[in-house]
Amino acid sequence: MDVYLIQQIVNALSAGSLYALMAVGLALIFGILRLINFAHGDVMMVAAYIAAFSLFAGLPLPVAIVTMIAGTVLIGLAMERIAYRPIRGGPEVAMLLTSFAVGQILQNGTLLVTRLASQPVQIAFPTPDVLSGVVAIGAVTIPRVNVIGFGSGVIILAGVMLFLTRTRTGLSMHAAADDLPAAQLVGIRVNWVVAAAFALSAALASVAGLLYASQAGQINPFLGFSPVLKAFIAAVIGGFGSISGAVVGAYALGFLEVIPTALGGIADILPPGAVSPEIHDLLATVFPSALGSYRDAIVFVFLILMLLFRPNGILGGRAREDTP
Amino acid sequence: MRVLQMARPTLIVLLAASAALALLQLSGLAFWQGLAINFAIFVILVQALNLASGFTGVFSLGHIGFMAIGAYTSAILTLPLATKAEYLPNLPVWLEGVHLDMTVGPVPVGFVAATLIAGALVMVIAGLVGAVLMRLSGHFVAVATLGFLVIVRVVLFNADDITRGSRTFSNVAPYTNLWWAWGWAAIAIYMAWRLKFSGYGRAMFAQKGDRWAARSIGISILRPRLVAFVAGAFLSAVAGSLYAHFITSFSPTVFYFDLTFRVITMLVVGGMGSVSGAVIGTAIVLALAEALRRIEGATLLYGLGGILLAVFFIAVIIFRPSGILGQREIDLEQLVAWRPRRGRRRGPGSATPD
Amino acid sequence: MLELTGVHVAYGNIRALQGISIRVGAGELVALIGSNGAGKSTTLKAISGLLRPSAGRIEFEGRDISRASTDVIVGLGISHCPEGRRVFGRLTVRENLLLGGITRPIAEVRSDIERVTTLFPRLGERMTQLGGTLSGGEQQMLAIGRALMSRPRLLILDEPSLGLAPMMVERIFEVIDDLKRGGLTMLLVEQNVHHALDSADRAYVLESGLITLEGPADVLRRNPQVEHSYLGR
Repeated sequence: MDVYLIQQIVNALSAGSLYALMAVGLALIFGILRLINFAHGDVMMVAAYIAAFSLFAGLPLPVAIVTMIAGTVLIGLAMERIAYRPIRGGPEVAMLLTSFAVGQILQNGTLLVTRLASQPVQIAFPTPDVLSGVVAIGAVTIPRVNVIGFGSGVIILAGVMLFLTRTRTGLSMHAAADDLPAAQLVGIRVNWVVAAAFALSAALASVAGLLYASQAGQINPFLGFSPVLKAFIAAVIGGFGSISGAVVGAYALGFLEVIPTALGGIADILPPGAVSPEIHDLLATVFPSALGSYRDAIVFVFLILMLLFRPNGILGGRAREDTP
Repeated sequence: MRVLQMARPTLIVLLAASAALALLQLSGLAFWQGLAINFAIFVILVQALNLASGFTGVFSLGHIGFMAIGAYTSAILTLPLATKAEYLPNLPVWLEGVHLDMTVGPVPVGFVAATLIAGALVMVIAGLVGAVLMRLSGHFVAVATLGFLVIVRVVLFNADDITRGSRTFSNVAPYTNLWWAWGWAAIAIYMAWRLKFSGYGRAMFAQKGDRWAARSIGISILRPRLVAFVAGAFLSAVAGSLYAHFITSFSPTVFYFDLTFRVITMLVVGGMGSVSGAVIGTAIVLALAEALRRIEGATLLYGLGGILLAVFFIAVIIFRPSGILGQREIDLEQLVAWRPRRGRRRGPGSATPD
Repeated sequence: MLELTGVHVAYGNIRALQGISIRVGAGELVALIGSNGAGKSTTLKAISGLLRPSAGRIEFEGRDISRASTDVIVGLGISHCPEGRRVFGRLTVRENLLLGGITRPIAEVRSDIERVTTLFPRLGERMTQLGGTLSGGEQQMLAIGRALMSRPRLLILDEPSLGLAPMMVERIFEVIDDLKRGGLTMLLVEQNVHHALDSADRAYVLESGLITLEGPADVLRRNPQVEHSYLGR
């Protein structure tokens, strides 16, 4: 039971880091442009592909990672320049729909490239050695990628926080998110700040992509859909647009997600005689073993409840009158 | 007399369309018949989204979820008893004995009943979901309704006893033909048209233009939004039923984001809020997608079609954000008199030129 | 120093400015007065590059800036302190000031922050407080301080006394007079015409997108039309 619990906690922390890397990018761009960048998940997917192809080509891991980050950042910048800048400041729904289209382009583009490279749609990810295998701590064995994922997530996020609060570029992003015209008036180059935000969010997504692919072991062009939704939920939990909120929300979501899995079928895991038969039956009814497969549905019900009752996040105040 | 005069252009269009359908039926061109049925199903889906989103400005990404519920409901209800016992052995008791597979003469009344029951069930669900979600605004509605789509998908995948889970659901009777598909499409167009030019329609467009102003003159924002959402859900369920009995075998993966995005593209291209625009947008995107599919097949460049459609969509949003017609309508009278581009009928929301 | 010649600005079909010409000489304080919707804020936004003139020319120190972007214009030495103060509410006072100097080398910015806090000691006491938590008057000081951080040669002030308590209005105009004595060139839009004409050297009256009157401030103050429409006598 203890081993089981520890493993679930590690799972939660590792998933939390991945969601945080994604959610910070979403929140950063939403804060400045009021754009929910749905293509963010596809940016992460493209990163996984660049990493895979770099490793296939025999590049050493550090070079492959640099290639991955650089390529992903270029894609992030291109999508800002070509698709989002022309409609900046337009209706929010138009921006959201555009991001769907950008996502479709990235997915189909990846499909096209893999076809041209004579690869199947779903390919096995060449997980580097440092990210494979398990770490044994006493009786607990944990996949190494989860440990490294959690650790690197914390380090990178700390770096991002420092960048955002200690550098003029980082503060400019805050200022642009706070009041865009005022930021322009003090002489902040808004185009530059927006591009920097896209570059940073793409770089974070690329790290998430590498971790995700190493965990999953397989990649396909459509893998970004679920992570971007999760990142969105994380950002909502933290109060949309708030960077630190997104991080808190991401780890909260990580824990929220393991709850159905951990509770599902809990009655069967308990040692015989630990609880009375009545409680055992009750647990089996309330938490059937199938509960874990309903995880995503449960998480989305939670999202909808959050949007309704605490639209400013768990840290923010109670429901405000939402703007038209 | 006046009523007859008003209805004359509509009558001419209806007769012309019926004649075209009859010709297509007689021609025996299976490919074009299939395409025409697809067209009709998409017209219903696009009108459904038009009601829910184009009229009210509340963007719903969840209507394909309603379509999925409609498809599964109708498919299960029409399954003959013998097939059902073998195919879905673990069905709940109250569903075991239902078999809406009866026909009266050439008319599959069971199919009609199943479609209507599916529509009613979805309306109840949409009423409950909508009462909660329509309070949200802007893109938060979009994401919350997307959440609904994900929830429906998860449930479909996991409710093995009823839906067969991730396995293909086949053995659905092929009831859908040109007449059923276009009959329902005509009803969808008529519903959208009537709603747009009703008092409710005006309220919808008013609150779309300015929520606070609409509220201040006493127009409730929740009611019209909810009515539109539920009406759109009903049409989506109908489209789902028609789809199920057209394609005859399907799985939950069909009813997801790609289809949602396809329907959105059609609506945005035609013009959100325009009933005739929705039909035109559907035709354009369907033709484009079909052409691109053939190019993909010929060149083996799979993915190219998806890229070009998305580029087309972005170009529309950047260069013609209100689509081909905006909120305007093609005037049938002008169309019949063969004088296009003049005197387009304006929607209630476009009092000022845009 | 600043010269607008025949400037037109339109919002869609609405013509907000219909060919206005304004000149601000070095060291001058020029006031722009007019009723709501006359086009005062539009004029200021056109100067600082937030709006593009559809016709006409805007020159700063002999250089055409009518097509330049706002950050370039700030770099050239024009600073615009906007209506409604617009301080960054979720950043601290220090961070607000730091960003005011974004166009300047970081080493100079630190000493400039001190310069601003000697001008506004209240800001010095509140350096780590969030901009949004300051009082209206303090926010106005912060907005002016932030605008001064770019070391402007021309300071544009849009309604600096709007919504402030009378005491604070006096204080803001003292600051404006101080800055003027220090040799700073200023263009001032102000509802409080009485105060504006007291401080200004010259003034322009803007009505429905056109300049209807111009001249030295003390002459305009005695103009019957100005007295009637703006001074309420």
